[in-house]
Amino acid sequence: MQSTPDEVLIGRIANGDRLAMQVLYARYHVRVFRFVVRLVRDEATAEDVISEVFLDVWRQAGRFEGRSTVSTWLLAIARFKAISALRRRPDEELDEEAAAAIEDLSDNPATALEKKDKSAMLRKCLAGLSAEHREIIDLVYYHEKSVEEVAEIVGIPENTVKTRMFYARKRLAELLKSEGIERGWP
Amino acid sequence: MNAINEEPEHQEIGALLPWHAAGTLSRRHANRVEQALAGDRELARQYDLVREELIETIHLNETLGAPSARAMERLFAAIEGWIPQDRLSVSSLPAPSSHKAISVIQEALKEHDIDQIWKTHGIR
Repeated sequence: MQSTPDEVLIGRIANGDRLAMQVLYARYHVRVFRFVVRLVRDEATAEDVISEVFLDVWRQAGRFEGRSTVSTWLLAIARFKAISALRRRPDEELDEEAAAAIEDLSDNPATALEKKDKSAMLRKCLAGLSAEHREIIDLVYYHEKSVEEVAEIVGIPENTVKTRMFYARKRLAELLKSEGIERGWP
Repeated sequence: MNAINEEPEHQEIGALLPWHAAGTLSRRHANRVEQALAGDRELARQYDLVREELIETIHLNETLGAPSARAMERLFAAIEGWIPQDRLSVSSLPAPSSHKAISVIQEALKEHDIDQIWKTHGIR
């Protein structure tokens, strides 16, 4: 059975079709949630953000021009909302999270065991990247966005997308090196 | 061959490796990368690292779980006008009261196809 194309759903949503809205939500809420939770590092905030994102879709569907894919449009809205949510959060809270992220990378008995598992260490270092670097890594690898799509979602030139991805990977290699895993790149 | 090839063409191809691994390059660019990978062992080694990153990024994201049903309930309550649309936060909202609406939504989540849902519910 072929599913209804996203663009068709958006057209129906623009006409006030609630069932189309439900299907679009079913199709994308998990991916959008994961994108947001990696940025805001808090599940309750991420849930608030995705409600806001899909409510915006409900209100703005008529303005969707089809110049990008629906998933790219959703992630661009989600990013904007996530950054707004982060700005509303007290600085103290952000400082505590930054500290927690750094602590996550320090050695403890569990970490020592994990060092034996390169994959687990790679995931740990991915989690320890800055928000800017996490974002681009996730968009490229997990959300499967092209250079052009990342540029649209993040609002930066395409060359900057490639440069930022390079520096995100470089930082990842540095974090791995500090954990005793030498990749030989860059 | 040097361990790190600094030629612009090599650097440009190297920058495209993450998108090649994700399968999001245009056919033309993908062909360029494939040709370069076939003749450059250092580039091929870099590509192996990129694929490791891709696999673990997917793994990491898959462990993040999914939002609770309350996020969906709040959204559709706002759409239905049961709650003010500018008050979507967890702390400020009661759960919606319409179990029928929620059951239809849950069915939509399972089916993922609007035409089938319309047919099932005799709509349109």
